[in-house]
Amino acid sequence: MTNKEKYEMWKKAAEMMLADQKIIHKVGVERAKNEYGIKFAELREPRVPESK
Amino acid sequence: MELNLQNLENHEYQRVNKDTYHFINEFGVKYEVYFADGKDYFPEMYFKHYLRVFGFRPISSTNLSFDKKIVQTIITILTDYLYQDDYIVMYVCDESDKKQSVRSRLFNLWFNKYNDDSFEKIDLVFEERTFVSAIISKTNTFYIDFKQNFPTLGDEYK
Repeated sequence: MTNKEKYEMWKKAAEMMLADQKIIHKVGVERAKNEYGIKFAELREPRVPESK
Repeated sequence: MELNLQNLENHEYQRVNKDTYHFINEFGVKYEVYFADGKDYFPEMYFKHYLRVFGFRPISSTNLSFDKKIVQTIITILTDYLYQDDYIVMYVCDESDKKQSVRSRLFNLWFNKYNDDSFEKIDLVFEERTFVSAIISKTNTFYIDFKQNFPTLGDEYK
């Protein structure tokens, strides 16, 4: 892959990330997932939950 | 090798469902933290299933008063996630209020303060407007291949 192709790949990805982020920040994770089809990673229970 | 998270005074955070953490700052503002699936942004990368996009936002108020523990909570969540597997975490700075460069610099300060050299952060800026970064452990299986997918931003691309 050429440098220009890498640049275009990342630029396109960044634009897509921004578009999805706008949706998430506007409607929240739950609606972004259910209404807009944005996929999220499954999280585990916090490992260090206590305040120190 | 692991960061000394014991030194971090983070807010208590909870997993409220399988894809969201919540925490409340000292001003009573509730935050939502998420890791979006990043594979659709880079369908050609063979390690696309390890790509994540990190984000957080206040959900109970528009009061954006910031306390020190917010930073440490974010760092704790981020670090804990990165240690779980060979994940590569990316983020893009919010442009809605035109303060994306400030956010980028702020996160850079956080990263440099808390990173013990276990991780590398790679930054890209497009058209002096869009700031995107990726954080990867230097021991990540895909470390070399991932870095090879980054462009060198020469003058012709600025």
